[in-house]
Amino acid sequence: MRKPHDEPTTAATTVPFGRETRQAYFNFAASYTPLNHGSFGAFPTCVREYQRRLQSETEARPDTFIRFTYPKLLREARDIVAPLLGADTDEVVFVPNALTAVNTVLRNITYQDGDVILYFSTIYDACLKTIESLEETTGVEGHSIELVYPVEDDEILDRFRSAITEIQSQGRSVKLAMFDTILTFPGVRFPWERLVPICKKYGILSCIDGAHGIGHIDLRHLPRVGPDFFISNCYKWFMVPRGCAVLYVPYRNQALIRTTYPTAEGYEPVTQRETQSQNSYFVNLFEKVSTIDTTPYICVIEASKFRDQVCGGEERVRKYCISMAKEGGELMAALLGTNVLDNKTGTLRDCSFTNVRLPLDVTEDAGEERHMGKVPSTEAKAVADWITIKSVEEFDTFIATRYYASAFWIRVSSQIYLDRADFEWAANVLLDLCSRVRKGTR
Amino acid sequence: MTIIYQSRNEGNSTKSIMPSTLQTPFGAAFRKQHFSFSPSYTPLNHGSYGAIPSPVRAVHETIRAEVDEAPDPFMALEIHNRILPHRALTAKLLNCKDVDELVFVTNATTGSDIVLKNLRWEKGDTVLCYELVYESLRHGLQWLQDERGVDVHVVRTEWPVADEELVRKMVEAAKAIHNEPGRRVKLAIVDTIVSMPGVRVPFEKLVPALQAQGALVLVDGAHGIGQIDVDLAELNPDFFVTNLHKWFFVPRGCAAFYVPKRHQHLVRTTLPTGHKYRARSRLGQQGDDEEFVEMFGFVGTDDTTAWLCVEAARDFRNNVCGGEIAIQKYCHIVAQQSATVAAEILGTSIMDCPGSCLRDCAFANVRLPLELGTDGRGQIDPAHAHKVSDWFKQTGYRENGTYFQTVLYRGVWWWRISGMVYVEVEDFRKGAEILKGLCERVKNGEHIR
Repeated sequence: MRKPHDEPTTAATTVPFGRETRQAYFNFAASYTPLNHGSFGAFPTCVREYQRRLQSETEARPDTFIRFTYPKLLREARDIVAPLLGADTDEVVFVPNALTAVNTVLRNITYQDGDVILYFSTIYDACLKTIESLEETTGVEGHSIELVYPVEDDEILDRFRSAITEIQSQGRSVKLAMFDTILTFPGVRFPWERLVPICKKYGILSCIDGAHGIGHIDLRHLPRVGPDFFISNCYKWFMVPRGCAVLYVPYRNQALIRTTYPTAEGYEPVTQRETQSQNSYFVNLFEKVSTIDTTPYICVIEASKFRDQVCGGEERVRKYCISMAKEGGELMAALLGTNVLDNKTGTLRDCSFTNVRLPLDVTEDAGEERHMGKVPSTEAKAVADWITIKSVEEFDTFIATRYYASAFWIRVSSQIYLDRADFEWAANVLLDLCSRVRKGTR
Repeated sequence: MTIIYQSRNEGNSTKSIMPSTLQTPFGAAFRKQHFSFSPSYTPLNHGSYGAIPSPVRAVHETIRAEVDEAPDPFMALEIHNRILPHRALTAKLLNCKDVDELVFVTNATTGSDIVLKNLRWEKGDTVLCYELVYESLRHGLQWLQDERGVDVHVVRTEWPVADEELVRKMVEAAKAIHNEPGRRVKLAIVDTIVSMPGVRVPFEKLVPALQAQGALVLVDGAHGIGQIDVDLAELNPDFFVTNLHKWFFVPRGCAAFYVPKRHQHLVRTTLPTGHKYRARSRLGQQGDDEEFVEMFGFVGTDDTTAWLCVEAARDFRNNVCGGEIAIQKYCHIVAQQSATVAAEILGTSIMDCPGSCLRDCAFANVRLPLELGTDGRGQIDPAHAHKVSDWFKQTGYRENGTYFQTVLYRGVWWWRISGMVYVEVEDFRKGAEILKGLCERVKNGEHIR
């Protein structure tokens, strides 16, 4: 009997990227404009159908699917993601999300008093919370390096080095540094490849939060860059359902990862671990981590087919998304009369996000706003939230808006299912909302 | 209310134990009508992964489709409010009076591990459990030993064991630990129903008895809601977990984690730590009531649509199955009746002893006609004993579409059967016949080749 997961995906067609791809391959409501892929991802219909078939197989024979078929499919899925990271299959495991992976790494490290986790102020919020939790329960302390965008890559590197030196001069030692491939907000590319060598020079473990990673940027050079840990969500840019991320741990570091979170069947005390080869302990550890719906992991198989056969491959997807982000962002800025967030070397924009400033001025003077259409700084967050909510309620979209560095910024995620017209439309939505903010009619 | 298994002589007819209002009787017909099993598969092991009735699955898919239509508004703005009614319903079903004491997590193991990893362990702290503690939890305890220097005291008690004896042994063990200077039982772990073998535990007696010894008690109710009655207000455990995706027909990835208000300050972080974690310096800035619940509402992006299916599962159980009592009664009795039939066929016995509540649930354990030994005439060589259960699983499935959940426990093999509304005695009779044949083949060493 041919298994559902053997069935071929939709044959390669020439449906162009943009609105036609959206209609042909995705499940969005016809009236919804998906401008925020970076937050929760989205996956094509063929992947949804594939997931349903997997779930049907699970329900058809729960015990045997979960115990016998699933481990083989899991291996197949790992075989597919590993090369995207330039890695061996046995260096890559699945977890439900990047946050679980971050916690797995950070909580498995043993910290002494005086140890420091180094990070940037742009760190993802929940990752910061993880560090705070560790500060409470271990001897480690977090150290934040302040960054306010736009900022040059060289400056990031300088600040990083300075922070290390400063910490060392205090008699403390940086145990681990954590930084992103691409920041969440603003949505900008981060010079992680250049920070890793600095970590190596100082004997600092490097943990890369590549939540925005697989499917977004080319990561086949990962082992050459050589971070100690790398984490990426697959449910975002790789178009699998929510509940799928990868944790890459090169062989040399696998002994550091002793338990999953939660601890489950695969955990062994040290004495028993050493009788197995290191590889198999690490891989076994993550194979069955209590009962969850692991079909998202397996969906990597189908998502990969879709991206290769229908989308023309990773590089073609990347090229389109990045260039559309740039083009779309510029178009929006022109329509809004503002600018796109960028640095002098243009490295920030080497990703599928674009960050555009809104035509709203902020004032510290509460009295001024009534006459000048400015937003008092005390209301700025509320205004940003209002813009997002109105974009949902009135325009059937979702525009991520924040008050940042004394201005309002929106972040749009480019995707193969968007085109110029969508960015233009978004700009017009924002013109309308901003005008209402200025008039005070919100 | 607990369903006490009474008559073992009710014969093979289960009609008398179903609600008369059922359109389709429980058993094979019900299975075909309301579940998605392959016709060639006989599901005798509900206890491991549960099963989702087709109508509940349809509701789940509808919710997922709704998310796909506009993912961001749903995930960013809507989902947290939508979870509340299902939490409230779950709290009601468990007689948890304050919904803010109950949150959802992905599964019972996650909930238990959150307790283990959040408690502050000091030198001399001991965790007390019995030998049938769930495997993953045992590993979690091992981690505590390795990483936190915690002592774990495992009470060796062979099942079957009378309730009084079990309680006595656990209490004595706790007392003995407290009598040692510098040692104390910080946490005791008991189950509602042990996993393998499948035995109900007198947790209603154990919880107060161990609390009286000064221990915090974590009740692992993985097998709980939907199989037996749990009354949290009455029980008053210090921590409680139960899987809804086992016996309550909710899709996988849904468990309830109960922490009474008096202990919520002990649970400092979810695992993983999420957006709503508050560093100590910032505690108490919001109403304390909200902090715990909020913390569990934002734990990394995942598909938590299963949590939104609790009402649909409840509706199915009430409207199609005739209600909780009807379901539990049938499941208990069909398991026990099937065990009787199976034991006859296998020429063995059912795990039982007087004064024990172990069979007062939807599991039964039938001994297999196998012996450990090296006589070369049908005894199972201990060196290969560990292969037997896996061989049963694979062969039973491959040849007959039937999955046998067996365990080698203290030198004896047991077959754990799960009573369920979609099976009937005939299913287990057939299963027993197959298993009998498989046992013969194992005696001939087929599991070794």
